[in-house]
Amino acid sequence: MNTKEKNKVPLIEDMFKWPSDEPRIIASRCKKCGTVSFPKLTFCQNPSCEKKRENIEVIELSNKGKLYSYTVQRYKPPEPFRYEPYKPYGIGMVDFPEGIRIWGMITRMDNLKIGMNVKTTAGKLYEDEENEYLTWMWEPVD
Amino acid sequence: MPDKDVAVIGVGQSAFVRGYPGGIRELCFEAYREAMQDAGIPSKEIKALIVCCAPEYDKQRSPSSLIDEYLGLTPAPAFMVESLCSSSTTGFAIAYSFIKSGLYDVVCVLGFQKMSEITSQDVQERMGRGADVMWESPYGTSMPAYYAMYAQAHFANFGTKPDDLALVRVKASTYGQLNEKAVYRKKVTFEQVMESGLVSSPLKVMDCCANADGSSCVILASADRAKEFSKKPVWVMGVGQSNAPMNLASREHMRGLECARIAGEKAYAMAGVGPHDIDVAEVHDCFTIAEILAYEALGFAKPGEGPQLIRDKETYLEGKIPVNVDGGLLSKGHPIGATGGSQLRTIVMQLRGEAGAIQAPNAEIGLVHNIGGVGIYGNVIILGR
Repeated sequence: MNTKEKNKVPLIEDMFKWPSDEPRIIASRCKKCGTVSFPKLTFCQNPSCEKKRENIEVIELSNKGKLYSYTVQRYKPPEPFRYEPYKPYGIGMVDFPEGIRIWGMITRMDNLKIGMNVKTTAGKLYEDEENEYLTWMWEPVD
Repeated sequence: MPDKDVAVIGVGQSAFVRGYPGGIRELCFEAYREAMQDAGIPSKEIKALIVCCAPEYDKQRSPSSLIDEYLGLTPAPAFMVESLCSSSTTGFAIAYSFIKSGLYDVVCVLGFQKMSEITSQDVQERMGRGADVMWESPYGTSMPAYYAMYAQAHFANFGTKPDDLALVRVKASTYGQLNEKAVYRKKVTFEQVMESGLVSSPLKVMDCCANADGSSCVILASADRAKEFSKKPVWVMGVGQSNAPMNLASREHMRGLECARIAGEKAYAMAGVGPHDIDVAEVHDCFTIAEILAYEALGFAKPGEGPQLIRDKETYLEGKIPVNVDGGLLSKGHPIGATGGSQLRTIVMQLRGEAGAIQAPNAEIGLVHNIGGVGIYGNVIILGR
């Protein structure tokens, strides 16, 4: 049996802070109009704002938000999604104080409620011989 | 009285089935033949062909040219239109403006989908790509999950319950069993819906419509040509269209579909009528919750009061606003590009008084609500006799 710890790597770089004891979502904010975007963008996505790289700053969102809506997915979605071994999972949208709503899986399926507080964490989607692949997840804290 | 500029003079639909045995050209011909027989005109009268489908389900690239040739419509121009599940009402809106502008006087809108050309797993994958592929679909979402989140938000805001959703499916099956073109013709009981397995909470298997193969065809004509060909033209009174952000997280709220509400407002304004004037409606019930959201978006019920309409059976034939009395997508099945045309066909037959066992009494004005994606594209069409 291979007891060597695998590397825990994000499925996609630069979407959440990792490695970290306190994973946070990485977003961008426009210094001119305040629009927050996730995933982070090179130019402001506000259609009436100017498109200048220097207006954009990369920010980390607060580690807590409120669950806006959710569901429990009971069948395996098709590729490109991979979650192994597959089991049903919660998925929801979270409102952050910075003024943006973001999708993510939820660390549990039961006792979910719209409006509950959640914090950002990281969880495993699948692994191969080298790595465990992580994504951001919402962990209920109420 | 509706403006009598543009009329529907022929409608047709193939049976919606699980696996159509022929190719897409034969499938399209089934609806086309029925619509042309209904219109009673020869193919040379068709001045343009608008083919409506979501082409990622097909092996054939640029299917409109293949179908134009197969139906014997060349040299009439043909092209394809796509707005996911609302493709054929988008095609209808374009046909309306072609005729209204005077560019063409008779236009054929042909919607189809042969979803069985690819595996069910592939269909799911392509469905998922009807959301933002860059970062939504790889994160474990699915069509049912998106609508499930609308349902959860409706439950939390208005106290809607799984029982209310089940009532929508029971109504659909009440009429679906009468529709010989429907893929699902069994009567479904309330208990059967409630006991069916969860797909994405709170949506159960029986809250979801089925994939299907099918085609639909609508022939539109100018007033002069309509009077020449048709004893019972059905007039286009209102056309409303609207889009919402593709990313659900960018939308202001999830209590209902804004694209449907805005499209409805536009269609009502153009037609000069309101929700109370509608005698019969076809709405996009890809999931049971979607029908309840449609009641509210179209003003048949106030926001949050949609469930009461189905509890009181007001959307049955005997109620104040019959909705989906052909069985809806839940019974008929949902061949993406053909669905809107099938809805239009039902309303046209209702307004002509040719709907048989599902005829709504004295139907003079009818409405079609057809949605692409999870509330991305909203099309509302109002027809009158």
